[in-house]
Amino acid sequence: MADAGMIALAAGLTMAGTGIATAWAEKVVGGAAVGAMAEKPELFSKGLILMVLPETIVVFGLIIAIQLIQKVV
Amino acid sequence: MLRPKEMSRVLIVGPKSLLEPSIEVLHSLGILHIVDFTAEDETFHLGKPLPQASQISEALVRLRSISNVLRIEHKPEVKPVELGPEVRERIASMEAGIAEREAERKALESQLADVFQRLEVLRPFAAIGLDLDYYRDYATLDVLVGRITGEVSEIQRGIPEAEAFSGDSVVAVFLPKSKSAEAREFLTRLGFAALDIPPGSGDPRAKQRELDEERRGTEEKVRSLEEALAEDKNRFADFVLGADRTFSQEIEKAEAPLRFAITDHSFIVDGWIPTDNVQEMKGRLEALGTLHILVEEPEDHTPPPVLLENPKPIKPFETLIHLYATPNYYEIDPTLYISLALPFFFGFMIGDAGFGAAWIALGAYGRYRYRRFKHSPGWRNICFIVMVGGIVTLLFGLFVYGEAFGLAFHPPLGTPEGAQIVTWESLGLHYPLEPLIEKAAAESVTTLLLLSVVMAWVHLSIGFATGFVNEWRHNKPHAIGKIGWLLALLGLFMTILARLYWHPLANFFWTYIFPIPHRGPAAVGFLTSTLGFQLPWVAFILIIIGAGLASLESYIAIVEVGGVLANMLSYGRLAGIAIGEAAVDGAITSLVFGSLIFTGNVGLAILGIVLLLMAESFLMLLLSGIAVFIQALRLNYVEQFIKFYKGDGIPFNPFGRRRTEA
Repeated sequence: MADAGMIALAAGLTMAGTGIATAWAEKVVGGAAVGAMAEKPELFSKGLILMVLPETIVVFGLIIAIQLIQKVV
Repeated sequence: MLRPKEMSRVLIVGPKSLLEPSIEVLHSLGILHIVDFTAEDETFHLGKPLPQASQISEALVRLRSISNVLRIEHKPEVKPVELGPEVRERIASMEAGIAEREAERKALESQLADVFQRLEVLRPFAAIGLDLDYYRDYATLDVLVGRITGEVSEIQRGIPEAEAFSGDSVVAVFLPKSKSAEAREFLTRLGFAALDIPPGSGDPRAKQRELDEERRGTEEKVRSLEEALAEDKNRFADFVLGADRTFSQEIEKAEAPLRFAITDHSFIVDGWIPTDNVQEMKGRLEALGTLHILVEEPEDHTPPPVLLENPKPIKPFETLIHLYATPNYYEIDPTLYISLALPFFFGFMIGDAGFGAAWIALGAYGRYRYRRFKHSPGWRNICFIVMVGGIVTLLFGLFVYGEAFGLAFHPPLGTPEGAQIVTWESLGLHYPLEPLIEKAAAESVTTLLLLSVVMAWVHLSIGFATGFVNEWRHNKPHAIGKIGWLLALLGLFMTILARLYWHPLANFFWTYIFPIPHRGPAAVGFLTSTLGFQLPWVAFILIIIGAGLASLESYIAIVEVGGVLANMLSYGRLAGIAIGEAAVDGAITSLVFGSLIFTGNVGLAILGIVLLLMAESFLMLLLSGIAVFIQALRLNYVEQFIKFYKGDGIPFNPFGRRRTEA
């Protein structure tokens, strides 16, 4: 298959893009959550939940990447 | 289980003469959640604290001051002190003694700071070594003392009339007054910073020695005072903590009338009590005298406080529910759900017999370590949850994935003869069962993803079904909306099953769970060409009907169907993390074993194994373990709970019971 390299590259880009997006979102949320927790420690659980919300982005990326890779295999 | 403990509203009315004995009984029972009285008018007033309240709070202030000075740390289990007439006197005299010592210590410390400051001022003059008298009272000479950064010899060269003495980077320059201004300018160029000449006379070094002597003496005194205070701490800590506990209880009782309604001759207590305990409380109170106790059923406008009621094995999971939010009285208590789903997700993601065993051990140790924290069971409960998670992980490792400490028991199927793959088998351990899913195999990715979606379907369906039950009571259209979501979810699930129809697991569903036509003419034509796979009519219709019903709850339901699909795919993290963990293990294994064992060097190999186990244990157990736990928790909190949970309940906080949740 001639496009195998391109597909693999696309899968890699998907992971990189979603990974960066997740990291960026978590940076913003996490920073704010830690700030809020310093003021009100009981916000820990809410902060934690908000903090892990953006991880869904990279999960979607993973699924798309797997779909792409399966076109190669 | 699923429902909180049933509550009854009680009103206790009695004459003022019975106020104090009633408080005593209610406090000792520890089952009444008092509703604070706030609506004052001409007849009903807020109560006043009992007369002994001021003495008790005074004793408490003294105790807290002692704790503060002695830095007594809170201990979870202390015996309360018996209340007698001499206790308060003992506290007062103890506090007086300790306060005196503390004051003395503070005075000595400020004295010490003063000595240090004087020493600091003297130091440059001691370095120069001239008597202090020499620096002042000249008719024709000016004296400049200060630090310089340049060379001392340059002063002599620059100002020939001056005489300079120096020591350390300090210089004292004696010069005629007429040259003063010129000299200052010159010195400034050398980085001169003037110093004040200290008062007094005589040799500064002798003075320094004197001050040093004084410093040592004062330090000695401070040390002995600190020792005395430390001894006080050892002697009094238990008493202080015990008395603190006793007086805290007493103040709670003495200030209880502040929460009651009082008329000229009577008092009224309003509160909630578990229905099971009503008779017990009635009996105890009526033994006191003529008290009227009215018991009412809960009404909608004042929701009762919530005391979750679950069987012992899942009770520790209540901690996770309170961590999120306490459910309200009319909602289903999701402790059961989380107690099943969380350990299952945890085990599915890690799925390793070795790490499972390690988590069990860690959880058991934690429970042992926190065994005495009966009144703040939060950590004990978390340790229990970790233990349960460990058990499921162990089972997954043994029966599903067939691996321990990141090493598979058997080489994967289809490995060529003689390939260098390290497994427990090649290390000499023969495990009888073949794995159901080999994480390392490429085709397992789809299997794990499909399993994740199946779990998503089950988990979210339970969420929507619970939402239906919760809503049915007060909003029928919304409840029907939940059914709509349930149908749309089923349609989406079928869509994914149709996409992966070739997979044995999907085939199983099409054969046994949904025995309906799903391919060929049974599939939606125009979508087939758009989506690239065949979408069964059944799934399409379910999504449309589902979205239609769901619009009873939300006007934009048809758009939100995408959100439900996103929820389902979000469970893909289960597969993603499971594979990710396996990949990390695989990388470490191949690095260490590949280069060490197969080079034939036994010593290096053993070192490698030890390093491998340590690195993996640390990485997997702590870092990934925490991450996996949070991910598993998140699927419950975010994906499932949002479908049905309001969580605006008031936790049951009975009068006379110490707070149980940290």
